[in-house]
Amino acid sequence: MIRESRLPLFYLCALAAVALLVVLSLCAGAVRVSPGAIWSAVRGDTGCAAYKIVRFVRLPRAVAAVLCGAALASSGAIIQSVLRNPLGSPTVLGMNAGACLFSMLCAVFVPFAPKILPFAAFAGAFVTLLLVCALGKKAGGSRSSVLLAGIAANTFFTALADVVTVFVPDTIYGRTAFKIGSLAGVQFSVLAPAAAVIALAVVAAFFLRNELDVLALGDETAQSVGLSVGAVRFCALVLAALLCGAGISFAGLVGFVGLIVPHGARVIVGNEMRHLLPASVLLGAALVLLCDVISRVLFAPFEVPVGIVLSLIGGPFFVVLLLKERRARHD
Amino acid sequence: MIEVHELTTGYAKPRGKNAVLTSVSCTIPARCITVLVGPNGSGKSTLLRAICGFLPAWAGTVTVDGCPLSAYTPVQRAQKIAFLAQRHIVPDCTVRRLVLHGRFPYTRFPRQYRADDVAAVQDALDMLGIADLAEKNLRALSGGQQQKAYLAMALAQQTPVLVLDEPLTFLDIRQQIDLMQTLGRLRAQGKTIVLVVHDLHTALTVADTLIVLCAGNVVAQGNPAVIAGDGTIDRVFAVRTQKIDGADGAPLYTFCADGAVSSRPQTELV
Repeated sequence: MIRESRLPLFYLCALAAVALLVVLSLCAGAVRVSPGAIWSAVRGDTGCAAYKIVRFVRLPRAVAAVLCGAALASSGAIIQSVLRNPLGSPTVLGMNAGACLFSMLCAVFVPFAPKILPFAAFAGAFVTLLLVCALGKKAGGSRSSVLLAGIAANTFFTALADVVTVFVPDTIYGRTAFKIGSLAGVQFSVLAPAAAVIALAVVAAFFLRNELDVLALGDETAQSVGLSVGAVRFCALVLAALLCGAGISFAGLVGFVGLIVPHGARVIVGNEMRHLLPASVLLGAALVLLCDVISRVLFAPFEVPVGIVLSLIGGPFFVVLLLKERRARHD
Repeated sequence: MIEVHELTTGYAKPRGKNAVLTSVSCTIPARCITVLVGPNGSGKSTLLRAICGFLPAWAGTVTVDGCPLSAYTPVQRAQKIAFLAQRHIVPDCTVRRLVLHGRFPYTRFPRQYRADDVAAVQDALDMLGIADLAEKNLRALSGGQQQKAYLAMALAQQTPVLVLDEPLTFLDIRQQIDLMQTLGRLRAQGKTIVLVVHDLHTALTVADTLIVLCAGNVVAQGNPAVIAGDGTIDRVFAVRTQKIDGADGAPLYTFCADGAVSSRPQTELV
């Protein structure tokens, strides 16, 4: 953890890294575009050769990467804090699977209203989260029972989503790219409602930072200083589900961002939400941008969905976390 | 003054409810140190939780200064009663930041801490002699230092009532003496202090009022010397109590196991 006096420098570096990765994301790909051409395209120079590539393909994709990383990472940070469980994240708790199922149902039954997709995904993530918390509590309330309930929900909702795919194979949310998590082909029209939800939820979560810190001290201690534990926990979980649902609505089932990033951020800025949330937002954006660039250039001109790159990093990281947890229990 | 009248409470089980306290009545006088003692599982911590409003009363009432506890909002309650839990989660933050959370009931949205909050935190740190630890990370401290940091958080709440669940846990003998002296100073300042203590000698010597619990009932309440002398302690704990006059005239209590005494509470005590 770095000293408080150095935090402004960290935020500056993280912001610079995100800005740099956005430029890299605009430049890199099957067709290389120079920074000068990007500048012309961004300014609206329609005569520029790269205008269409930048305006309709790479810029929405870079914005999507920033939004997706910020949303899933902050969702993970909130969940880990509220549940006091370092292994909590949208993927592990089955929220991704719930959001996917509801998005698919929405695409099947209300195909003419794509703007409600983020809210359908939110509903799926939220219902799953409530179900997992209730099941975990019923099963004893320990960290492992919540995680096991998450695994059960994940399996169940994934199976239901597969059933929908079998019966309605034409839905876009049944595609492999969505299930793995991909930013290819994302458009501003899909991003706009999700961006609004993400921005509002991140701001609201930041306003709840002190409440979340007090909640992390344990229910009794939080109650003793006058916190309405149930209400704050409910609000925080709603925000986490909103962030997760909004991120998934355009990026698909991008995994592990919500697990890896809050842990990385915690190592740098500590546990307090006033720093953990902004750090998670910035590092989440940076990680997804980086993985998206890698997914495009690694086998160019072919590209790998960003979800695969993230899972390749996230899988081993998750194992390390499990081992660390086990060691901590034995210490 | 806190009055507990015919209180029945406990913990909700998946199937039905499991009452830990049954029709308990007792009075905690203002500006005094009241100590709760009793064998393990007798309901001491449950009674503390009920006094703090964490457990709802299934029957009976808890009143603070004549007003039912249920009439207070969570914030009003937190401005009235501070609670130190038996076990703590140790967050990854500095001692000062933890103690600052004690000022939470005095903040309003968006929860900005003000200069008087910072001053209250410094007072609490000074009172417990841990001002030098203020910028240290809690996880780098010993169990005793962490306990003091949490106690400082409770003190920073600046409440008239302080409820402490086994505050001597993790403290070495010197720190225990220091803490008891601190509690004495707080009482002199007008605070009402309620605590659970397992060490019977400490309980009998620091308490102004002793409450003895057994199997979810209050079996005795009153002057600790009287309770120690009338055999209540012996019957409830299945021990033999011996009082010795110390060098400075203060009483010293020793206890030894008494196999002849039944471990079950005697009906005439209730």
